[in-house]
Amino acid sequence: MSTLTVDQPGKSVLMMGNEAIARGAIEAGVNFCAAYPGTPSTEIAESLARVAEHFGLYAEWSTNEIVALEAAAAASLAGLRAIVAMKQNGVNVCSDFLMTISLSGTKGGLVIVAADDPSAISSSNEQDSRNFAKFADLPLLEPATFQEAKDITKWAFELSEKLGLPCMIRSVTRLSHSRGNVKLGEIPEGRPVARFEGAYIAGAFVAIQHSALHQKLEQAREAFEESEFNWYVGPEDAKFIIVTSGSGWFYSREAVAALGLGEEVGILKIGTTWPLPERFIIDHLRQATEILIVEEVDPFLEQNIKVILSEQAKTLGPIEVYGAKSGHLPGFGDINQDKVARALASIKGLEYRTRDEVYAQRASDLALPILPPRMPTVCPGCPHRASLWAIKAALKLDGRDGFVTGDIGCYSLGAGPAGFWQLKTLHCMGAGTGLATGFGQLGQFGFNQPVISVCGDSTFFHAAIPGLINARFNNSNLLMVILDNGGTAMTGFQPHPSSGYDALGRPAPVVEIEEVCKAIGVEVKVRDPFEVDQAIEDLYDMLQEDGVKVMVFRRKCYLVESKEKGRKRVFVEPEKCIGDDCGCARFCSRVFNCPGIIWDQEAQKAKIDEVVCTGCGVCATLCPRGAIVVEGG
Amino acid sequence: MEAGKGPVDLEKEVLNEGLCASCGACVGICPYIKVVKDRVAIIEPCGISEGQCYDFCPRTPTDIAALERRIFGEESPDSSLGSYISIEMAQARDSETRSRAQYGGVVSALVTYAMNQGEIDAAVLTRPFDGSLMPTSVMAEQSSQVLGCAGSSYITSATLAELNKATKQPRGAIGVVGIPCQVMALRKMQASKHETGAKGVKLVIGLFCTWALSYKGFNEFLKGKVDPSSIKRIDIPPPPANILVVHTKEGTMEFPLDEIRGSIKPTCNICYDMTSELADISVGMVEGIDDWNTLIVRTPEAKRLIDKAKQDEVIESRPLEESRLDHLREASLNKKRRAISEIVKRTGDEKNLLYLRLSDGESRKFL
Amino acid sequence: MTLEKDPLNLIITGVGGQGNVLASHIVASAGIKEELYVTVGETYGASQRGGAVMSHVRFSSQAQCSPLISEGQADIVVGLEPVEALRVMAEFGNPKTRVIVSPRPIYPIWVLSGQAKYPPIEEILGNLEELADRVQVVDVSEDGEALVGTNVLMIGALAASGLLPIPIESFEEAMREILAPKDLEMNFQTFRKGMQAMTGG
Repeated sequence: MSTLTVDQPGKSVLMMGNEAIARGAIEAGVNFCAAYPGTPSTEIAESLARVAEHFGLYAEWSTNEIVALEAAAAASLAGLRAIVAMKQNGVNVCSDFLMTISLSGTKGGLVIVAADDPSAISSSNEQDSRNFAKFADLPLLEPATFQEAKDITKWAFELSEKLGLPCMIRSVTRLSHSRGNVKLGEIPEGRPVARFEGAYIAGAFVAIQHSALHQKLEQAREAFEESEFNWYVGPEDAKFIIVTSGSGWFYSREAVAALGLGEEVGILKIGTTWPLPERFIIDHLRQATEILIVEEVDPFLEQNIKVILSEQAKTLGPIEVYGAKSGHLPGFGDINQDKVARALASIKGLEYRTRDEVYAQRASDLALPILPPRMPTVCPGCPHRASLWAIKAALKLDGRDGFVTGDIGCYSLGAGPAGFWQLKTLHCMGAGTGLATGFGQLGQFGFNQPVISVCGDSTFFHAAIPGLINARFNNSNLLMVILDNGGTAMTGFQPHPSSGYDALGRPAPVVEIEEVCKAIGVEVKVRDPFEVDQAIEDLYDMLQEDGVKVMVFRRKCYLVESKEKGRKRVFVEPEKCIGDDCGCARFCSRVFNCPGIIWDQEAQKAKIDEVVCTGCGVCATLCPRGAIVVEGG
Repeated sequence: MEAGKGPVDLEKEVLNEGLCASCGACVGICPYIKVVKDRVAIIEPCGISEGQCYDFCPRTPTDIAALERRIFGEESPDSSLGSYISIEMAQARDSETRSRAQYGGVVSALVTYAMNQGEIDAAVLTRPFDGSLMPTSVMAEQSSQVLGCAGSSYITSATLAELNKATKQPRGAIGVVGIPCQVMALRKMQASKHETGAKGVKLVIGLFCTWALSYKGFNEFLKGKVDPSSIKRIDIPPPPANILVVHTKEGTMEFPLDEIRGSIKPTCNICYDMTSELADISVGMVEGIDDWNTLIVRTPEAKRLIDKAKQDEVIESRPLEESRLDHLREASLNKKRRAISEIVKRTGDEKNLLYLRLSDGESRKFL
Repeated sequence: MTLEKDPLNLIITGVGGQGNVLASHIVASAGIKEELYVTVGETYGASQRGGAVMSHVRFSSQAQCSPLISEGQADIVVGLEPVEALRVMAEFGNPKTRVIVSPRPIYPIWVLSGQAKYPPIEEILGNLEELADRVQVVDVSEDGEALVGTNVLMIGALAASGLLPIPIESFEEAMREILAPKDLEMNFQTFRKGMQAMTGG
């Protein structure tokens, strides 16, 4: 049973940060949820979709983040409460609407959750979305704990409604994807009737709207001055104060404890980071002579606090500020308690040691020399492995130094060994095809390399269609390969417009990828990448033709397929395996590199690791000696 | 044969030099070498330094005299046409075979006959005009499949890859019909220490070949002029016509040969063999006589088969006129001269004849 | 409840696809039943498959902890895969750390491709012994069957080890809450197999 539906106020449950955000929305009586999946934000909308029928709310996976925000804003304009969740890159996608909805204003509570990914654990950048709140003049809240993730979300709806402005919540991977205790609140009953009235026109008297927006922000600041999400812990007269927000709270508290500085260092924790509650901050920094600012990624808090310090220089006197600018904390990547403790120790002239140095050295000596690196790869059974091998083969056969422009999805791993190092560019959703349309126009400058753009099925709908239309309109030369594995696999196989079902698992109309391509007027072929030789030949043939071509490599994510249809046993007939000899040279394990195939050092034969193997059987079609057998064909 | 070389060397010496004959000898042995149309590539080096691919290739160093000793028990006494027992004119008796064949139908008739007689169990053939300009290679197991493979599209397919498939799935006694580079590769496969489907080959019918066209070049040449799927037959009439004739379902089109020469595979310019000198039987045109073949019988086994085929009235023969024989010799010698001169142009060294390992005496004849 | 050591730091480590997240989820849910603050930090995303995956599980009777454990501060390491256990010990181990480890390797792709070597299992276990207070190996390979549920097996072993102040019943209750009903019986069997491997029963 989902913890989202537990109706026992006061009960403490274990919740993932993203679930806590979803629960906060439910406790606020949310009616509408729209999102495009993206790590680390996905579970917010996924959790809400799971309980949508239970609570009578609407939830959808949208084609991309701007559509999600627009759809959610419509609910708000009709007086409903709506939430939209996205990863940091998604904020860029929806930013065009964001910059104007702030001007027109909203009605029902509209909450935008941006889940940032410091250190880009599963992203192509680690941008700090807080800058967008400031950029768009929107109030910004940063939960620090699992409890706050719920409570801040609930409050954000009220604030948004009060201001007539969307509210932005910034989470980070370490909150969104961690679990902790959450004390549940009440779930409201009843459902409002949606009705649109009035007009919301950004662009009419913009300067006046902008000025009104600034007034709304002032109202937000006033509300923030009293917010329960801002607090101070530590000695009354602390001269040294850590100012922190979000995940920095946990790390700061543990760093202070680890260094035994609880008696002299205070922590000022801010949950409302734009606009900053100036009076609250000034009140708590009156005694301070030194502050350390602890936050993840950009020095957002640091710079905005410095503005306050400079404006209040007469009241506060000189305060030394440590943080990213001073070099005590990085200003990039994620942080943890050790980084904060080291910063604090270095300022205080202390030594910070987490364990005995002799032991640490011994541990390194015993482990590091023998530990094999573990590169991430695409899953056993992943169709992309075969697709990228076919692409590599076709480009090699073509012989003109063709290359692949990459996109965002599981196949992004194709930039590494999982995809035979085939992807040569990787940026944002849709960029592979966008770049390819440009490369495909360089013929008049002597450019003669064929260009293949790869793009997932979900990415196709999200951002690649305009690039494809551009290529057709301007008569570019490119081969777009759509790696259609039937869902948004990278984030846990959420449905998209050609999946045939919706966010709630109900049947949905299918928007056929190849029909879209045909309507654009380009040549399109659909092939199974597991028929590797045919795939290679067809790719090669398409590379010989000028113009825009699309190849759809269609095969379902095998993790899903094997769960649905059961897993076939695959095994090696050792007497047929020629191993290291000429004619094979361990192709399956050494080159094709599926983690389900291992090399039996003693027997000098390939072997299937039945725990890892998903039973897709593509290796059986690639084995030069027919030594790999799929049980039952 | 040069020991100790593998795919890295094959790529450097043959593929990167544009000398691949796309015969298919290196294709289908392993997962690393692929062919599409007539393009062969090593997708990724397998890491093995000494390999079958290099061993089998007709454009890696080849000791022709050693191969001749192996096949004929002697080195060829004839510098122009290789070892042979007889040279004559021949044609298939069956008129349908003749009408579907490029010339006299001898190849189709002989392969069909050999299969029906149980001399061979399967035949590796090339089927032209299979809906595309690109011919397909087939391992025919029924004699009824043979006639569908008559005719020539002047493009080579990786025929020998079919033999490599047979390494996994033995087919009994196999016959092969191939052009000179394919015959040479096949003989290298048979002579190698490796286990290969070529060891099952009992009958080698070589075709005369002056050159072949690259698929890509010829396809692009025909683009907008001819629909490749409608082609029924392609002919190059004897000089001085200097044209290529394409017969389609819609009609006949003629193209000046000079416009097509740019599409000749570069490897053909260094080819030393016009008449498939290492085959058991070689078959080609007779200049000026459309429905007859020149038939060169080279081995005693082949002679036995031909004699039987004549007796059973499958083919008939006539002596080849001396003037025609002289003409054939001259054409073959011309190809050798051109090849050697082209090779020396590439290497800049009369001692370095790339893949050809000839005795000094032999090579000097053509320098 | 008070803890002898507070916070009590557990790291569950393995390879993407082994079900690390589920394992930590079960342990943490069991812990919350004892009215403890429990925090679980996970690494997943791009390393969903084939990459190293680590869950930090922290128990405290006093406060919610951060989702990450400091260097050298692991009290218990549960290794679903042997080299991953050693990798974690190198960074988070200390002389008092207790290790429970499965000896069954999952080979990294660079080992499969021959670019890296997988150390002999005896060497891994020997080095773990040298670094940890105690190493308990959960080897069920004599069963002969390919074992899919290494995560639940190892949780069974952890539950029976007595290293956590959580009764078996709480683990079972947590499994009932989290796992799909149809998979429950099979998982209970695996869990008990892990318990037996630990107690030698």
